[in-house]
Amino acid sequence: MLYPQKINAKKTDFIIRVAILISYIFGLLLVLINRIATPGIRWAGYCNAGIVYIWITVLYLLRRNVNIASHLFIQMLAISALCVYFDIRMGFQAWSINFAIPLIVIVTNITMLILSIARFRNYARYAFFQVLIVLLSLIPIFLVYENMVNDKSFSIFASCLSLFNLIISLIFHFKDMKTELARQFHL
Amino acid sequence: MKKENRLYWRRLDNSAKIFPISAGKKYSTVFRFSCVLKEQINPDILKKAVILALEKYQSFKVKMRSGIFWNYFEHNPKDPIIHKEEDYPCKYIDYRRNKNYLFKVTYFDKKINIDIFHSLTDGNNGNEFFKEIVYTYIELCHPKEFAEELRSVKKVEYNTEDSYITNYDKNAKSNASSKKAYILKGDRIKLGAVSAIHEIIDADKLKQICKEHDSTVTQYLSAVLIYSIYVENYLKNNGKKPIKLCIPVNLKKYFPNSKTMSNFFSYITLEAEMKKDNLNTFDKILQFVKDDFKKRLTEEEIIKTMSANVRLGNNPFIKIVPLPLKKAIVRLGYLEIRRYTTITFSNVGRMGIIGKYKPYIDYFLMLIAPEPVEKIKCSAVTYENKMVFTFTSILNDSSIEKRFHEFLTSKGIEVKIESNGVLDVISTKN
Repeated sequence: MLYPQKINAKKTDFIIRVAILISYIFGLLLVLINRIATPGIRWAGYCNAGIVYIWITVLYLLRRNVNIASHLFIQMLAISALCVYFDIRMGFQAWSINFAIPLIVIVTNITMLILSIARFRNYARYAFFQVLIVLLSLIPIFLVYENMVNDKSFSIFASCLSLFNLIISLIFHFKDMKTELARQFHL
Repeated sequence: MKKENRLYWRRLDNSAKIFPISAGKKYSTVFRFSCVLKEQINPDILKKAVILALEKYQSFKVKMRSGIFWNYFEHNPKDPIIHKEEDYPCKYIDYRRNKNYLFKVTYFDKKINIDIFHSLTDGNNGNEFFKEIVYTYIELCHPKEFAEELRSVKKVEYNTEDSYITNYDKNAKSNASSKKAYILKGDRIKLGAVSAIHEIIDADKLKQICKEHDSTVTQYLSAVLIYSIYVENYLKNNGKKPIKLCIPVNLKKYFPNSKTMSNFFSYITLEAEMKKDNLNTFDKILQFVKDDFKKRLTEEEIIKTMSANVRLGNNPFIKIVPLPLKKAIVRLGYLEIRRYTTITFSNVGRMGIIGKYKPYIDYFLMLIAPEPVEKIKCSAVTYENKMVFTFTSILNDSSIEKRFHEFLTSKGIEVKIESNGVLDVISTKN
């Protein structure tokens, strides 16, 4: 006998597909209930944004051996987008760009700093995502430049912290960063 | 992990670049070698054998990562995992579920398999690595008989250079045919299954018949394959386009200085105009195959094909397109790109095995992943007096395989069939 008789079907793929379908139905149901029960308050959009955020996180986590720094980067993006969405839906009081995004930037950069110290030997794996996080962390300072922010010091602090983090990484991991950037940008 | 290992990376060779861009669940670009031993497989020993073989062939101890413009390889510090065979052969290797390795070693009963993603290497070099695993496994299973081999440190001389870049001719003109090929018609097997049918052929008798027809084994089997497609699929579906048979060629034969373990292969494409050239009998097809081989299997023609592909990979406009965009474009154009081949037949030839190891081995198999356009792919490997010709197929119809078998047996060649039973099981269900 050369081959196994019973061949494994991709059960996990099936389960994920069913779960996504259930989410769709659930999302539609929420919209329907919202329209019928409380047409004056549009709360279903917030719930559905939450569902989308959960799926981004779950699908990303399902990929085994995922790079922690890349996960950090995805979370930074997804939570920032979620906050801006909520702020806009609630009439845009600018709390997302004044407080939420700078706070997310600070927390991400502190986590990245801890990661680069704790996983000193494996830093090369995180180098590229560190650069991406730094680039994204410059958004608060850009918003300050565009006069869109009331509390400027908080935003400036957040962006400066990420630059400080980058300088620390360059001092201690210059070779790793250089190699990583050569790998990423080779033609 | 040493610092130099951590920072180790290398570019993909010119052929390898296209595979991660185009590969997916439907188009896996995976090939498999199997070795059927005369004893049950011990998974623990097999794992040790794979780890030892990897120490020798470090070029396989890598994972793939994405750059901005191209993918690249990086050292993989993890040990590989060995599974019992459960899935269909040559399925897409999800490296995230495979400790990031681009090859997968599985076992079943007396059989060891290695599925290799084509980006890593070609059939010729994959075969070398697989033989190393088999040798090491046999040595570990029989330490008394192989005491000397276990003690001695064998060194292998190889590198990972891109031999395409080293050897291509900048000025060679392209010889690519613009004619689209006849695509095999028929329903596909359901549930993403892959059928594997092995025709175990008496190699001595086959060689004798080939000699009578003044042809090589590859030429003869190519002719039988085209004839089987012609009778069982082309005629029934009133085919009009030429049957185009793609035959991979090991470039190390033409560039013996190359010691690379990366991809270094090219291909020739036979173009059988069945109606225009009136190729309606086997003898006419065989004559056509012999003539076309003579025309296409020359150093000059092969360098032309190779150089055209290298030029494409080196095109500055292609180079600067970001990787995600490259992926999107290639995947969108995939169905169109693949329409220039009807079927692929790869003959890796004779498996050279050291005499002392022969008593433990029954035979070898090679399989290539079929895909939505090239629904059947063929491969052959010879060990001692057994040539195993394999059809891997997603076509829910085994008439080409049956015709191939009937033709060889009608010539007095002994042919034994082994299969994974997919077509029988699924055909009877539908």
